[in-house]
Amino acid sequence: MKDWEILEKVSQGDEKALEYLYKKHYKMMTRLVINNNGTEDEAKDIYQEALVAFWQKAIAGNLVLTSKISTYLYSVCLNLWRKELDRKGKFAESDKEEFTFQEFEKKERIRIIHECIEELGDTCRNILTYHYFDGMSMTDIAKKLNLANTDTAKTKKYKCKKKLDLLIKRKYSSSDFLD
Amino acid sequence: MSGSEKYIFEDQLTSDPLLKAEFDHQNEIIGGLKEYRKNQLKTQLNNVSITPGLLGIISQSASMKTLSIVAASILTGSGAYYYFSSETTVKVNSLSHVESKLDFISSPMDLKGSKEKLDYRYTKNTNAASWSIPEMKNEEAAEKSEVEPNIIDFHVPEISENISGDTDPQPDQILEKAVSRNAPFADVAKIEKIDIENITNNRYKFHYKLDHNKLYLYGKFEASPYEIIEINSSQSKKLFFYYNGNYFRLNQDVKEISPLLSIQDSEVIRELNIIKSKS
Repeated sequence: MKDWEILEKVSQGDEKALEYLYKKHYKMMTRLVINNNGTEDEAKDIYQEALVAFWQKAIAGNLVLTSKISTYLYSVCLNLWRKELDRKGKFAESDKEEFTFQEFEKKERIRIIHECIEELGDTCRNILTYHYFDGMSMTDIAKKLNLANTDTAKTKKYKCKKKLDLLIKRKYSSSDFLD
Repeated sequence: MSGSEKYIFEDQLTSDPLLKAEFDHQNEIIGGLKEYRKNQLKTQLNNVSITPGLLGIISQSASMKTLSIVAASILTGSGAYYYFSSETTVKVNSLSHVESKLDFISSPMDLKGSKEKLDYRYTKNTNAASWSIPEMKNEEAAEKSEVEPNIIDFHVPEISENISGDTDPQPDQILEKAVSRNAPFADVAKIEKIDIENITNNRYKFHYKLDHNKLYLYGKFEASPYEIIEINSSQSKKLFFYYNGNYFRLNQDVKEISPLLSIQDSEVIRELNIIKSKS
């Protein structure tokens, strides 16, 4: 598959094209991290982060490629890994106890939200994630999820968001969150 | 949200803690949704098999690549060989060969019925696959071109004045006669070699073609060594082909592939035998 074909498919939300791209440049991208004091897991994570960023930008239509996809991904991986190395360095110097507490509180809230997202049905989950993460238009979402039309998708999205809010509020009182 | 609306909203956020709390809560939900989707994609990517299959490993290995290149070369080579060998050509010029020549050059003598001056030039090769024949130079060829081309005109010398008796002359006598009746020809020394090419062909089994100082022999001539006898006279040059006990006339003007026809004339055969035996 040529670069322009991959970009076109990824822009249309084709997850198979993303998988293809992941496989294609896996060795080169992970070697970048591994050769710079990273572990294989870290390398994998950085590469996946870079691909997800590429995915988001491509779907949102914000990606203008002036080089090959591999070059783009390589520079993203390099930047992410530098940031990660910086973060590691700063983390070593900071107050670990405070950092751990703050992180734990945030992680806990995210875990609750994820639990509630899991409780949603597939359609609701997909509409919300496609809209908020992928940045897909309601027309594209309607097409992808085989909904009648854009308005149906909009109504469905509104209802799903309400349902998610309700689930989260039922599980935890607002005071738990806003404390 | 326009710039002014955004400004007003931010102002309300700072003044209303409940609105701020709800805003942060919604932000966290959206963040959670984004995080969820990101994890979903990463899980999907984690499930992608990176390690190539057995076929992939084999095809990516350097030795396999070398092997494929070698195999492709062999296939191409053999394909080309079979394609071009539908008409197999065996070049024999480069082979080493043993050559013996017998040139008969003597003063001219009167012949009964023929005043022709003959020059016998014989070339023999013990290797069936190797041949080289001396031939007349262009000057002589020009002279030869005046001669009628398609007539086999082999003049056997008859009884000379010096030989008496009714019995058949002895081979030595014939040979001496042939030697003595030939005048020295300066041109004879100027000779050209004829290339010989043996061609194996399904269509032609025992044929020949003479073209531009090159003799093409069609068929299999491995059974016994073949020889070529060249007889030069002042007006013409004659070529004979000896193979497997038979003599064949090689007509130089036949440009097409022609069958090798054995000579039946006993007189001609006898003289050719003498020339051959003296070589």
